[in-house]
Amino acid sequence: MITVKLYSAIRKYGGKEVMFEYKKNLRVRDIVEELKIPIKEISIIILDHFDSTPDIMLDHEVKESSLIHLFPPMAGG
Amino acid sequence: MFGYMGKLLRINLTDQSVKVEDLDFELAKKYVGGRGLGTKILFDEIDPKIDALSPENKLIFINGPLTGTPTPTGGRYMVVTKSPLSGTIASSNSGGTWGARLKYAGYDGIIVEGKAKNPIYININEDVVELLDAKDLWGKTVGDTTDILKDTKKTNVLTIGPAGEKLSKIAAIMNDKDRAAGRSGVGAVMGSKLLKAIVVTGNLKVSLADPDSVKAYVKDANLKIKENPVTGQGLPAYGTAVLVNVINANGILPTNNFQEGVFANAEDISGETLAEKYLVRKDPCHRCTIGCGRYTKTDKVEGGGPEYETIWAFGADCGVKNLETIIEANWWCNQLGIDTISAGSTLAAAMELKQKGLLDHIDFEGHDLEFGNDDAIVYWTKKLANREGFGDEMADGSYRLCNRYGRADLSMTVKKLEIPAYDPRGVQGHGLNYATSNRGGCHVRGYMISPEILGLPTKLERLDLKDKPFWTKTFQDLTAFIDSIGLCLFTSFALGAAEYADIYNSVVGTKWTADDVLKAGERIYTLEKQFNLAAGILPEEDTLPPRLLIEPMPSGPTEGHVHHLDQLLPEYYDLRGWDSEGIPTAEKLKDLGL
Ligand code: SF4
Repeated sequence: MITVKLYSAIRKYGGKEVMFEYKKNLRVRDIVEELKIPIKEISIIILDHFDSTPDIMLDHEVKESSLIHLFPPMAGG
Repeated sequence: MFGYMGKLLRINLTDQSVKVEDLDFELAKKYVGGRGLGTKILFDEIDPKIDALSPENKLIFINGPLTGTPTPTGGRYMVVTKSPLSGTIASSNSGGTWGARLKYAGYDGIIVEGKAKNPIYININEDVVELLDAKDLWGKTVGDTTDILKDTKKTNVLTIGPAGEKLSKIAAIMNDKDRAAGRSGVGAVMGSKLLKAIVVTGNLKVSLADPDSVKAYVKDANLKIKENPVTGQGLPAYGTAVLVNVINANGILPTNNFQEGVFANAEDISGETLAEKYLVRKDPCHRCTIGCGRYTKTDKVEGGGPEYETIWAFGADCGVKNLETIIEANWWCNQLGIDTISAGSTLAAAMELKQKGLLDHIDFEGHDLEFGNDDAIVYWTKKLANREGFGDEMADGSYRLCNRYGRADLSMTVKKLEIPAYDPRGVQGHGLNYATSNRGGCHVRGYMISPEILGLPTKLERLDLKDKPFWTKTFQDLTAFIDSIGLCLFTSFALGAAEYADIYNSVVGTKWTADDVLKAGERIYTLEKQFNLAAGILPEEDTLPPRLLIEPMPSGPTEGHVHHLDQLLPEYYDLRGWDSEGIPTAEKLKDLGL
């Protein structure tokens, strides 16, 4: 199973955590689309400890027990 | 003279004299105001080698030219002095309304000198300035002192709490009850002068060079702030605490005194949980159109905060998952006038000393300082601020505490100032900023978390070293300018150097470009470095605690990494025009007009 964790403003699309069945060639983008989250509302994607810009991350394929964190734009300090 | 009120108050507590001096406009323009001008005045007037708690030290409260203007977040001021904690320059920024009120009373700043014979407070009502007896206020909390002294809506109160009176080297100066010039122990300097409070009343206006342009630029900036998802939505909805989860998901939320980088209970102490369970309303500073400030309520306390850094310090760093207790600890810090970052981090250091068996002789009075024991954090925060029992050993911060037990290496500090809530092993640029920050371990000198984690203004790979010295220097220089004009650093999530130049020009009447803005910031940064060198701070103090340089992160998304300071520092110094020891070259000083 794949675990997707959502944070702050985008929890409205699925709560804190959603589980997905693994399929071959499944990409982060497919999961985001399935959750109906507009891509512009996502600013940080961490997949199995790795992060980069959302456009790079969206095309990453997930693994059987991947953990994905999705965050909207945020800041603080 | 536009933007500036043109007047400084010089108050000597030893001979009780009050002088009004004209502001040197050329000097003000060169060093901008706030952090820059304050540092210049301090450096010109004191020997940086003096004891920070002696009457020879001066305590400068200083505004920027944009403080008190209609510019967004234009309500901030700086406290500049020599730090008793680090021995470096101290410049602590605060919001609220007090700084703007000082402008409305007619002054750009106050230079406090000497030491009073008995506790006093200063009462300023435009051109009437009085030094009054504070015997009955001494010992009172920040909340009580403020309630007693605030008599009209046009009055704002700045005060120290018991921690500053007791010369805790991590004491804060508080204004408007919940806003803190928190870091570097500035509250102890105020306490050492027996100065309890400064009350300001005023109703004057700041004159603007080009009011129409100011209006247009302010409209434009406010639109950018509103449309930017971070300043328009994220910060107002969740405050700075929204960072808990994202920092944890990157494996850099320092846990149990930086022994780990992932806190299993992060969700329990997150901004989301704060908003859901304890948030009453937003609590913006004067003129702020962002409004990251929180006003929270639990069964026990109600007030401003907590910020992300505070939640981390008393939470993950102490292994504590009870947000209600963390809010209570924050409330006590505000009441007693103590820096939340240094206080929480010092408790965490004590917990590790105890874990290592070094505190077996200590009476913990039934409140064991052990990771995860939420019962201990409020109890020992109060004791620390009041210097009671073992609290006295913690009152001067984690470096002096750990050093006393021969384990200075367990103090997570740079130049004796506690490092905030991001483990440098997983954010290489941010670690470089900590090591080179002129006031010691500070996140808001050059907030590299922006590009390395949040992707703002562009995403940099957090573990890469490439380009990090350049970015760190640029962030540090821009921040020095923002801190000097009197705006909040958080505007920089929506605005860049060119926008700051436009707004500054319309208020002051200059014709600065984005390059001029960065150059002024670089001048201020280098001046601070010069102060530190003259104070005897050694070049090798531009470093990080050994744990972060040699112990690989044990687990999580940052597993196996250390911080590579040795590879970053040479390029950073080179970009600054400093020699390989970190000493500014004569050529660079000339270039900056220093
Ligand atoms: S963004 Fe937050 S800290 Fe900055 S001025 Fe506004 S409320 Fe104050």
